[in-house]
This record gives sequence, structure tokens and C-alpha cells, in this order.
Amino acid sequence: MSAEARAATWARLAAASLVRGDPPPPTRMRSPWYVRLMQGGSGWLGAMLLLGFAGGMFPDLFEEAPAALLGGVVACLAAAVTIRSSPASDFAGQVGFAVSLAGQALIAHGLWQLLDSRLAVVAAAMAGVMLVLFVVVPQFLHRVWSAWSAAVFAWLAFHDGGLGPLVPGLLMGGFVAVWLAETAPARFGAWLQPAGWGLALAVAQIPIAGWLLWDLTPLIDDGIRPLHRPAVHWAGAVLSAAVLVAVTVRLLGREGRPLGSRTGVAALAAALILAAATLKAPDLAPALAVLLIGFAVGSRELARLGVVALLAFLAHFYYALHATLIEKSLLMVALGSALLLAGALVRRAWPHRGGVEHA
Amino acid sequence: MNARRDILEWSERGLVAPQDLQTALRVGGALPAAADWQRFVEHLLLWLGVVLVAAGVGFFVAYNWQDLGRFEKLALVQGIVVAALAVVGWKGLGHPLGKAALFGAALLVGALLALVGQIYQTGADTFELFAGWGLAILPWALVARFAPLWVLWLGIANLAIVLYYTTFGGLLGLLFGPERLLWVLFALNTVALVVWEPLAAAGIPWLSGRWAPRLLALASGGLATALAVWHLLDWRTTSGWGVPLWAAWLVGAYLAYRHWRRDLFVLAGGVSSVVLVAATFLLDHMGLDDSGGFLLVALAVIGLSAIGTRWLHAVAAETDE
Repeated sequence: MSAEARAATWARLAAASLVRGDPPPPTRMRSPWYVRLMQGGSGWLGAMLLLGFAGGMFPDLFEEAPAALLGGVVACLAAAVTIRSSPASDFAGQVGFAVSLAGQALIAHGLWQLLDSRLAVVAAAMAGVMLVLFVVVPQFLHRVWSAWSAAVFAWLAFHDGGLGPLVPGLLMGGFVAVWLAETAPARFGAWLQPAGWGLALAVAQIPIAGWLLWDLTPLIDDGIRPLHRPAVHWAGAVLSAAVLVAVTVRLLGREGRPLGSRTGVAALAAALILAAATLKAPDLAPALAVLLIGFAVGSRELARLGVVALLAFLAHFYYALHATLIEKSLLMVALGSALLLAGALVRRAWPHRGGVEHA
Repeated sequence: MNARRDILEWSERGLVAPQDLQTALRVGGALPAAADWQRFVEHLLLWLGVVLVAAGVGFFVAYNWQDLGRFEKLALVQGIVVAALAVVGWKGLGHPLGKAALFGAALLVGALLALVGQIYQTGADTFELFAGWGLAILPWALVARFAPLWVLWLGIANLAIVLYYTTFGGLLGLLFGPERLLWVLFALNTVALVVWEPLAAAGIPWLSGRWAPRLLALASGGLATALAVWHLLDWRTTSGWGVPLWAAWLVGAYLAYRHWRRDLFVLAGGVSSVVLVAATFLLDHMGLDDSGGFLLVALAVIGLSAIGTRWLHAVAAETDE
């Protein structure tokens, strides 16, 4: 079925003189996301068990910071060599992934001891480590993991430094930039795609499990909850809202719709309404960004991740403490009514036509 | 939707010129056309609007605003339910607006029942609220021919069962132990899956989407795995049927989703389940004191998942999924 679809796509491109010759066979087996999830989960379990083995055999690894760092670096290097030397082997790939995860845990442990348990510094250092691993280990799954981990460590560093509310907007900006970099040189494809998925997971995580960070940080930091000034909260909310509007403007440009056109004005108005609502419901912005980009780039998986993030936002919003239940209720009813009204206007202004209209 | 991946791959291999990539994505149908955008925007506005209004009403009920009398509150929530049903009557269940309105009304029935319990202090347990909610919307689910409404109904039924066993767990823990809860949830989701799949295979159009049966298979398989792990870790106090049930589920899932209705998602879930149960079995039998045991189990986990990946790739290659 997919081979037929691929041939049909090739034929369309050939008809437009964009490619020549016969369609090429696929170069590699592309795993669906759920197979990669299974690999990632097994790799994670394998890494935990490897750490149990290492802890039993070499207790110094967990007691001495230099030993932990050295062991971690050696493990990550071994993983990189294993994956690079056998890129097509499923077994080598799984061994490399698990050994690398174990190595990363040792490095994090060593840094924690060496840097005197200062969360922001350790997290920033780990974000750097993950970026290096992103470049060095050429495996899609590992790169998705590295990109996601780097984003989460950076988030922790910002959070502990009092700048946590800025992170959703910054992550959304990075996520959008990577996914819409369709005209980037093809040689960056091997980096952009896993980076895009890693960032997508990090952005979707904000409404799905972002609250975990808020609850976990005091546990790590001896019960001290990082101080976030109201100005930073507002700056973060405005940044997220601005990214949402910027995405709309960028997509209108891509579709060749001027901002002053009827479509442009309507889209911008809808984006502004949603952006204004996200000022009081900040987790709505990342969920919408993932859904919007998923549809815009034609990725069904990404769009579904956005839907899951939206549902998570709704489930978690009830427990959010920044507003009372009645405020949240009024916001949701007002926003929902505005969207329903906007939908009615769209159906009236642009009735469906029989054929497919291209932008 | 895989056109995007194909075109990007061809671009990486130099088969599509960099300056033509954007055009190729558009010509190849990887990017949405104007009509697709219109449909997407309409659906987004409609569904987000309906769910936000319904959730907002639920929040309003939960706030229990004292300045508003009970009749006003009841009239408000009932009024919105009636308005939603009026839209269903006006547009019909074949129209997206009718479907969304019925879905919203089904959500609002839960808020209405909560409001009734709040005003009249009925003394009902929470599970009774969910059970009543499920019963109340069952006729709508039966006539609507709409998969998301059935998934909502199943979600409510699962919650009602969990709350029932949570309520009676403390009082009659021996009789209504947590293992029984897992068994009942497993039975509900498995029966739903076993009913859903043949109906979908029979060509009923509104059951053709794969997301709902996959969700049910995930719940059913996850619960079977949990029962097996529990059996392995605590075989003295459990019924002793966890592992046989899991093995039967695995065989059934293999036959169904490898040979009858190929679905790589469920097969990947089965591989994950095998890895988890095997790791539990090995760890339980080797003990946690032996570091060599950790290495052996780690290698088993890595090996099993690698074999599983290769097998899944082979299955995928048969249909080039």
C-alpha cells in the first residue's frame, strides 16, 4: 500500500519535472513511532539494569565523582563507537542506546557530586552533554532522546534560575523553527528530523507533565521552590502567545495569503483570540502549537500528539492554582463560545466547494 | 501523509534539488491544500469550542457558586444540554455539528448529575455518579454511530469501576482486592475490543478508524501485563491466573493482529509486554543481590527488544508499512 503511495508521489513529482527516472527503492526501514517507543522503553530498562550491574561490580562509580564521570564518558564513547560501527544492526543499536543511557546517568551523578549539588549548574552542564551526544551518536532514536533531554535539562536550569516561565515560549520557538525549516539544506535532514521530534516531545510535555517539574524541583533542591517573579511569569505568557501569533503569520506567508486579505485577517483574529486566552491558560499555547504545526507540515503523528496535549491541558487546567475555578470556568466558556462563533462565521464566509481548492 | 517522509528522503539523497523541495512537498501532496486548511480550521474551532464550553460548565458546577440559586444553576446547565440537543435535532447526527453537539451534551450530563448530587446532597458515592452518567448517555451512544462517543462511554465505565473498587477496597479488601479490579477492567476493555474489531472488519464505516481499537488493545494488553507481573512478583497472594491469562492474551493478539488484521501497533505493544514480563521473571528468580544477574537480565532485555524490532521490521516489510 505504502509502496503504491510512494510510486504515486514520485509520478506526481516526475510530471512536474521535479524528479527524473524510476522511483528509487527505500534506503532503510523506517520504524513507526510505536516501534521506536518500544525500543526506547527497552533501552531505558536495559540501562537501569546495566547501572545495577555497574554499581555492584564497581561501587566507586557511585561514590567518587571522578570515577562516575570517567565511567560515564567511557560508556557514552563506547555507545557511539558501537552505533557508528554497526548502523544497520538492531542488536548493536539497542546495546549502544542502553549503554549510552547508563553512561549519561553516571555523568549526571558525577556532575551532581562535583558541582556541589547546584541544580541549575548541573542541569546546564547536562544540557551541553546531551547536545554533544546529539551530534556524536548518529542514531535517530538516540538523537530524539538527546534533543528531548537537552531541552528538559535546559528547562530545569532556567527553572532553578528563576526563569522557568520563559521556557515554554523558547521551546515553542525552537520547535516551530525546526519543523518549518523545510528549505534547509538536505544534509541537515539527519539532524533536523530527530531534533524536531525531540523538541515536539518537550513542547507537548508542558501541558502533559510540565507540572511534574514544579513539584519535583523542591524535592531535588532541599525543599526550596525556585522564586519566579510575576514579571517573568507575564513575560513567559506573552512570549508563548507571541510565538502562536508568529506561527500563524509565518504559515499565512507560506500559503501565499497576505495579512490584509480576508483569510489573513480571519486567521490573525482567531490567533489573537487564542493567544489572549493563553495569557490566563499558558499550557494551551504549546498544545495548540504542536497541533497546528503537525497539520501544517502534514505529519499525522505530530497532529495527534497535539490533540493528546490539548486533552492533557484540559485535564490539568482544573488543578492549576493560578486562578480560581470560577475564573477558569468563565475563561473556558468565553473562549469556547468565541471559537464556536468564529467557526460559524468561517462556515458562512467560506462555504465548501465541490472541488479541491489549492492555496 | 507519508509523502513528506518520502520527499525529504529523496531530497537527502539528492534526487530532489534543494531549491525545488518546497514545491515538491506541495506537488507531492505532503502539505495541506486550501480546502484541507478550511476543514482543519472548522474542525478545530468546533471541537475545541464544544469541549471548552462543556469543561467550563463542569468547572462552574465544581466551584459551587453560592450567589446563584439552585434553580438558576439547574436551569443553566439543563438549558445548555437542551440547546445542544436542539442543535443535534436541527443538523442531524450525520453532520459534524450534530455529532459535536451530542458529544458536548454527553459531557454536560456528567456536570448535571454532579450538580444534582451537590444541590440535593443525595449521599451517592462518586462511582454512582459515573455509573449513572454512563447509563444516561448509553442510548445516545447506541444511536449516534460515532466512535469518540463510545470511547467516552468506555472511559466513564472504566472510571466508575475504578471508583467502585476504591470505595469498597478498604471495607471489603479481601473480597474486592486490587487484583479483582484489574481483572474486571481487563474484562471490560477486552470484551469491548473483541466486539469492536469484527464490527469494524464487517465494514461499518464509523468504526473503521484504528485509533479506538488500538486504545482498547493498549488497555487490555497493559492490564494483562500488569496481572502477569503481579502474579510473578507476588504469586502467593494472587489468584495464580495472571501469567496464563497474559499468555492467552499474547497468543490471541498474535493470531488476530499478525494474521487476521495486521496491526503493527498492537504487535509492538506485545513485544514490549514480553520484554517486561521476561525481565520481571528473570529478576525475580535471580535476585537483586547478584550484580552478574543484573547484567544477564540487561542483556536479555536488550536482546529480546532487538529480536522484537527485527521481527516488527520484517512484518512491516511484508506490506511496506
